[in-house]
Amino acid sequence: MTGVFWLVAALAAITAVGVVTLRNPVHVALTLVLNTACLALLYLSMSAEFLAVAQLLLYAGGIMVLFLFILTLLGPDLEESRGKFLGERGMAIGLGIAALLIIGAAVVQATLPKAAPKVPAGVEAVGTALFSGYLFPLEVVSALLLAATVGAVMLSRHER
Amino acid sequence: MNVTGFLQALVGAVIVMLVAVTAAAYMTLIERRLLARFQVRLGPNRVGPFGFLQPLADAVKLVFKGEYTPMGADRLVYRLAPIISLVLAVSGFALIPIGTFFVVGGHQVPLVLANVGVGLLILLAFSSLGVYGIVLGGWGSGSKYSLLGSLRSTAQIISYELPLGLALASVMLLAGTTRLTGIVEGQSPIPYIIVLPVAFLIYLISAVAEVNRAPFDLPEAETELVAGYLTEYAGFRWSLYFLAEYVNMLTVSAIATICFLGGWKGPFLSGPLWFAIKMALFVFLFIWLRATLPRIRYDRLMRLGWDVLLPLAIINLMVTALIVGVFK
Repeated sequence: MTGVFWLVAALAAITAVGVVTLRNPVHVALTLVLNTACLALLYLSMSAEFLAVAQLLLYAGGIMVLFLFILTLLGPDLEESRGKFLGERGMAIGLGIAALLIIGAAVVQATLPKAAPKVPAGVEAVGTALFSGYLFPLEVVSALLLAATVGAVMLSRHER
Repeated sequence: MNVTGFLQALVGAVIVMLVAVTAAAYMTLIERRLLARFQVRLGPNRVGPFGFLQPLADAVKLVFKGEYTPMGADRLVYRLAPIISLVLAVSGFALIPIGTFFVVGGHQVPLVLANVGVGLLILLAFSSLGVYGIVLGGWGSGSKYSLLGSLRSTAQIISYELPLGLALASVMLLAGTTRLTGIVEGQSPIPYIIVLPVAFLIYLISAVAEVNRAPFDLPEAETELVAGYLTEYAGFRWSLYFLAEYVNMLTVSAIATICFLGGWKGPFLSGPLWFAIKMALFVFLFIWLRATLPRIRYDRLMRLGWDVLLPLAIINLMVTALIVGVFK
C-alpha cells in the first residue's frame, strides 16, 4: 500500500506544479482535475470509499466542469494572462512559503494514526459522523454556503 | 492482492470491455434497422444475413478512414478527448451486476467485476466526468461549431445531472444502501418502479438528456451546429465518441434496470437473461424516442430541467425521506 501512496503522492505533486506553471488556462484546469483525481485515489488507499467518490463527484465532476465551462466560454483571450506587476509575483512566493511553513509545522506536530482503519468508511460511517459529532459545524457551513449563494444571485441581478 | 485474484480481475475486465463495445456496436445495427422500420424503409440488410455483419464492415471502414488534425486544434487535448469519453463510459460497466454468481469448476465466480459499497455513487461520478470528453473535444478542435456544441452540452449535462442524482438518491434512501447488489435485493417483492414512479420518470427523462439522445440531442444537432463537438472528428476518433455514446446508453439502461426494475430478478429464466431483456426494453425505448420526437428547443430544454424536473425531484426526495423515516 505504501508503494501506491508514493506513486499517487508523486503524481499529485507533479500535477499541482503543473497547475501553477502551465500557461494555458484550460491546461491548468485539466491538471487540477488530475490533481483532484489523485486526492481521490489517496482517500481510496486509506479505505475512505465515500470520501473518494465525493471528491470525484463534486470537485472533478461538478466544480471543475463549471471552471472549464467558463474558461472555454471566455475563449483564447485569457491565455498568457500572467501577473503584470513584479510585486504580485513576489507576494505570491512569500505567501506560498508561509503556507508551506504553516502546513509543514502542522504535519510535524500532529500525531497521526499509522494504519488505515480496517473497516472501509462507507456512506453510513460518514453520515453518522456528520449528523452526530459534527452536526453544529455542518449546519454552520450550510448556512454559510446558502448565504454565499444568495449573495451571488443578488450580485448578478444588481449588475443588470 | 494475490496473483489469482489479479488474473481473475484482468480476465473479467477484458470480458466486460469486449461485451460493452460489441454490444454498443450491435446497438448501432439494431437502431438503424428499427429506425428504418419506423420510417417504412428496409435499413442495412446487405452485409451478411439480416445485415448482421454491418457493424464489422462499419468498423473496418472507420479504422481505415483518413484522419487529420484541424489547424487551430490543441493537438494533445484534441487526441485525448475521445479516449477520455470511451474510457469513462466503459469503466462504469465494471460496476454493474448482471446476476449473483455462476459456478466454474467448483469456484463461485460473481457476475459483477467490482461489487463496491458506493457502487451507485461511482456510476454517478463516472457519468458526471463523461462531460469532459465533450468539453475538451469541443475546445480542443479549435472550431466555433465544436465549441458551441460543447458549451451547450456542458450546460445540458450539468442541468440534468441534478434531477438524475436526486431521483437515484430516493432509491438509495429506500434501499438503505448504495451497493448495487443491495439495491437489487431490496426490491425482491416489488420493484421500485411501482414504489417510486415519479423518481423513475425523472430518471428516465434526465437519463435521455444525460446521454445526449433525441429529443435532447442538441449538442450534436446536425442541422444547426454541423454535429457540434463532433464536427472536426473523423474516422477512428469519431467512432470512439460514438462507441462511448452507445456504451453510455447501455450503462444508463443498466442503472434503470438495477434501480427500478429489480435487476436480474425474475421468474423461470436465468438472472443474466432477465437483465438483458430488461435492458433491451430501455434500449428500444431510446430508439423509439429518437424515431418519434422532434428535437426540443434550447430554452425549453433548460426550463424543463430547472423549472420542472429539479423541483419535482426535490419534492420527491423529501416525501420519500419522510415516508422512510416514519416507517423505519
